[in-house]
Amino acid sequence: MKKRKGKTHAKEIAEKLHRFEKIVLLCLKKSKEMDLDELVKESELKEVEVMRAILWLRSKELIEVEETPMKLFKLSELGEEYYEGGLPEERAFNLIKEKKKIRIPELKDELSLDERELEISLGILKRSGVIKIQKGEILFISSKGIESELKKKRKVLEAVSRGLEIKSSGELEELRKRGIIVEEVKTKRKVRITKFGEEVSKFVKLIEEIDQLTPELLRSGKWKGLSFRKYDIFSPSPKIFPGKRHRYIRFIRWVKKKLIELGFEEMKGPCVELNFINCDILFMPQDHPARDIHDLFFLKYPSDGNLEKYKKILKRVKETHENGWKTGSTGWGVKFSEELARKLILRSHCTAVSARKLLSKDLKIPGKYFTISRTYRPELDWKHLPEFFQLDGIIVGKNLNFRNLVEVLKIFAEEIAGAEKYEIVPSYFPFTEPSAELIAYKKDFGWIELGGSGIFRPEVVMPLGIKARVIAWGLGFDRLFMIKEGVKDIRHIFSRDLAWLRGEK
Amino acid sequence: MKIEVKRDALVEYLGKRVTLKELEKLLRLLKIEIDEVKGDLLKLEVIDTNRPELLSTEGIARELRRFLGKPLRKYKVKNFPVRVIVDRSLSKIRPYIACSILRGLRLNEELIESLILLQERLDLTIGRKRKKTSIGLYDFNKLKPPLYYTTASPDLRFVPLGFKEELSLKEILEKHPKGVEYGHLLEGLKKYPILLDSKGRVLSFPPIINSEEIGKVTSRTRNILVEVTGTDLRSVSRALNIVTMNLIDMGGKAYGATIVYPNMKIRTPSFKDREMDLRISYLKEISGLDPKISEIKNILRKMGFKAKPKGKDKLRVVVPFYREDVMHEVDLVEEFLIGYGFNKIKPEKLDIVTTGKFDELDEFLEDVRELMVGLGFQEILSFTLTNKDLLFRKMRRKESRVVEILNPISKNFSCLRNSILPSLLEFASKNKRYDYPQRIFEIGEVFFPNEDLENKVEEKIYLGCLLLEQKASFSSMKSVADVLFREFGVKVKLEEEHDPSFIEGRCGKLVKDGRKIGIIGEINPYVLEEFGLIMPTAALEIDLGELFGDRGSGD
Repeated sequence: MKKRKGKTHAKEIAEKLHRFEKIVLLCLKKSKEMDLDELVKESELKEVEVMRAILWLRSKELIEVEETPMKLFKLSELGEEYYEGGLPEERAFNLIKEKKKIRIPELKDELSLDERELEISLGILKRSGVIKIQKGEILFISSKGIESELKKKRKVLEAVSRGLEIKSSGELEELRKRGIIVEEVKTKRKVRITKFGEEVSKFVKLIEEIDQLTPELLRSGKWKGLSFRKYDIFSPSPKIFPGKRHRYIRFIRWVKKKLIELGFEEMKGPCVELNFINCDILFMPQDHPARDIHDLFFLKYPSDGNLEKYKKILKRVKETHENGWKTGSTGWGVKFSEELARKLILRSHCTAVSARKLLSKDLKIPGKYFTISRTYRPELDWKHLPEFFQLDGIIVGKNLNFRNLVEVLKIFAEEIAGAEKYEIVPSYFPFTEPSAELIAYKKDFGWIELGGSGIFRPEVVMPLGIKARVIAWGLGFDRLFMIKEGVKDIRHIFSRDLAWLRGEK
Repeated sequence: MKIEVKRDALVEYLGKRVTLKELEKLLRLLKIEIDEVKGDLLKLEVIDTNRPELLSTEGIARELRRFLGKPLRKYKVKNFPVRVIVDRSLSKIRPYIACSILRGLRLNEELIESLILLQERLDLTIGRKRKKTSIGLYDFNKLKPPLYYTTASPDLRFVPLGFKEELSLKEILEKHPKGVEYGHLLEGLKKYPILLDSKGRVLSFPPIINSEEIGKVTSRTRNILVEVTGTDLRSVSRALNIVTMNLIDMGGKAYGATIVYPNMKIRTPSFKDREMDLRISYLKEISGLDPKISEIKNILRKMGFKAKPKGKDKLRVVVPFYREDVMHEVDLVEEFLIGYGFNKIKPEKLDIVTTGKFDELDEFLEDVRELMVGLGFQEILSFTLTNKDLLFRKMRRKESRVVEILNPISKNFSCLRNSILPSLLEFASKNKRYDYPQRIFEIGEVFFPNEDLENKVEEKIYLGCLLLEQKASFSSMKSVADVLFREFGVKVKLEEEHDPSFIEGRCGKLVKDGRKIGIIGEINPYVLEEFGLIMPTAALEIDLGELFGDRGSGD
């Protein structure tokens, strides 16, 4: 910038000065040279405000700043601890003096010292002839050599703690090497007004300015005689956070909308389920590994449900399991336990919700249903949580066939997962036959298992008295969330990190 | 189930090198996935839990040979030279036994390992961890038939496998690693199952451990006795069949045993195939395809099922004895579809017109979420599994009955929540390092025991919200509640409430038709301290079901 130095120019500059600048400049006009602390005191501004004023005034060449680095000593965290509780050599000395002899590990435990502290302390005490070590035992000899040294060290610590000036000494050096005292370099600033600054300061006048415009000022019209303090519009403003939906729940909503567009109706079922509905109706053999306590949460209280309502169906399901009943199946050939069927469990898959729909009186044939609900399994590691969400559904119709199932999976792969390629491969579930798995290709993720499906077995459908075929499907919901939202860590679903939820991470 | 097989061993059985890609494709037909390839080792996942015969290299090779058009072995039992006499006392303990003898074996270490792995996998799957079946292998040359399957007192002594000295049955259950692992299967019994030979020597103490003397099989063993005991006859025979077949594949000649029960005689093993009818119309209906009979027959043969026409609409299908997973003709339809190739099946549009519909309650919850977000609250999502310490002690609330888990995975997840506020406070305690004010809410399930329901548990949907800020107050939360009541037109009265989670005198309950439907207040500093919070906190919790049922009645 080209400088025009003259009277008019000085006046012009004086008028545009910020209030902080004006105050600081007026302070300096009086004293010519001040350091930062003095300026803060004199101006009655905050330190940041003074700093800001200095910065601006300096760039306008109204002041000069002289910076000199200064060494300062400070207690480290460890130093603070020792200052409070005593230096380890001091504590060791006191204990040894009292006990006269002590074994090293005992000393270590008694004072709860770490290996390094212990070594240093014993070194010092040995050097000053306070102790002798024989076969791992410390013997006290004399306290002559140590007491003045300890006194000096205490003095140094105190001086540092109180921020007093300290002369260099052997003790200071030792404590610094041991990391008890740390050195800090601080810059000391001296601010001087320039010739031009003095010129400008002649034109500086502090007048009343409006800080916050208030209804009172507006009502009275008082604002008319006053000028507005200019804001520093570039200063940082406080961070605020909007209310936000949880990403996972927002995604649930998105999938629901998609399914509803595809003609599916939402269905619901309880989280606490009868074993009968979660497993038996679905033709899962009662001693199936997926039904033992490692795969299913059982309830301690209340432990058993009431099957009264399902008497007729229970009898058919029991026979189907044991010998196939009228379904044409061999059954599992194992005795069916009503006691086990009655047990209450936490729903382990959302196929249980589909089973409930098939049991309900308002089942529509034809009908298309889905659910996205919580499910529970006794697993807990980096890949599995005991609670998670599943997306399941059924299509009920008189003449459904496997090619319809292929069509449904195709729609899911394309419309919901947005997969580039997909494949349908054989799979197994105790309750469907044929069973198929959908695997899909997605860029950045490769081939992934997207979900399972099949046509419900006659052993499932016939005991319920349903005279239609049922296509059942389920999509790995968490996986779907991850590929659609680009979330890499499954644990984010139940994230307890507010910053992540707020979108800061 | 996850298993590991050696690729070289598999190739040897196949008599043909196949690329990994081909292998992957063929394994798909058996519902087996390749999880990982580590040099010669293939880590596989056998998805079909009802096909235990696939849990070994031999079993998988057997199926693959057929897909590759290789000649198939006929599994036969020569004769039944050994008698096994079963004592009456076992009828309520572990009633069934099945045996076979394999002669002329020349096993190397690798085959022995494969055999032991198969035994373990079958004990785990068909055997349901040895409860239903358990398998024993013996050096046939070291024992003298007939065998006696009977019971013995806990004092009977013999040298168990892996030990040098004799132990009593009781001591085995206490000291032997297998005794410790499986002892619970014999809990409460006065006498234990035992298998003896004609000289009274112990073969094994089923289902725990074999004897060191007879029950040890090495690469020098030429003739092996296989024995399966258990509680279910069908499973016992099934396990025996699978082991025997594998030993035949390994070069053995099979002989059987006559099992003499108190009331019947059975010969084991039994390699008898079943026959089953498959209606062609049914196959067409389910598959949605229209194949010729010859095509169906060819595909089924490829999948291991011989079929011949029976009448106009039926095929008589031979189901190999080891395919017990085929329970219904629908299983044959699937075999056909797999053989046909899923990838060749063209999708067919559904002939069904339906209208989609949201759940009504869910729609309402969506409206509530929108309001809460509009009020500046961040939505969170928590587990419904929690613990009593959090629900009661930390909240300073009196303990009430909650839904409890019998087999919790961790102490922290031992019951279901009956309030959302503890979840929210716990969330807040984990996020102390972030900027305040913090406004959070959650809408979710809470649970209450209720004898009148079929599942004995009432599930409600609650809204919980917390306001953590310098000036968080009862009144600021009440304003939030008022928004909800105004928006949904519900008439709710505020009454004084005394809840130790809240500051006394700064807590109110929300009452509708004389029922408490929610609570508002400032969280008690004692509670804040429990959660390590140093920010004033106001809270609100409402049963949304109560608002939903009554929407609009106030207008």
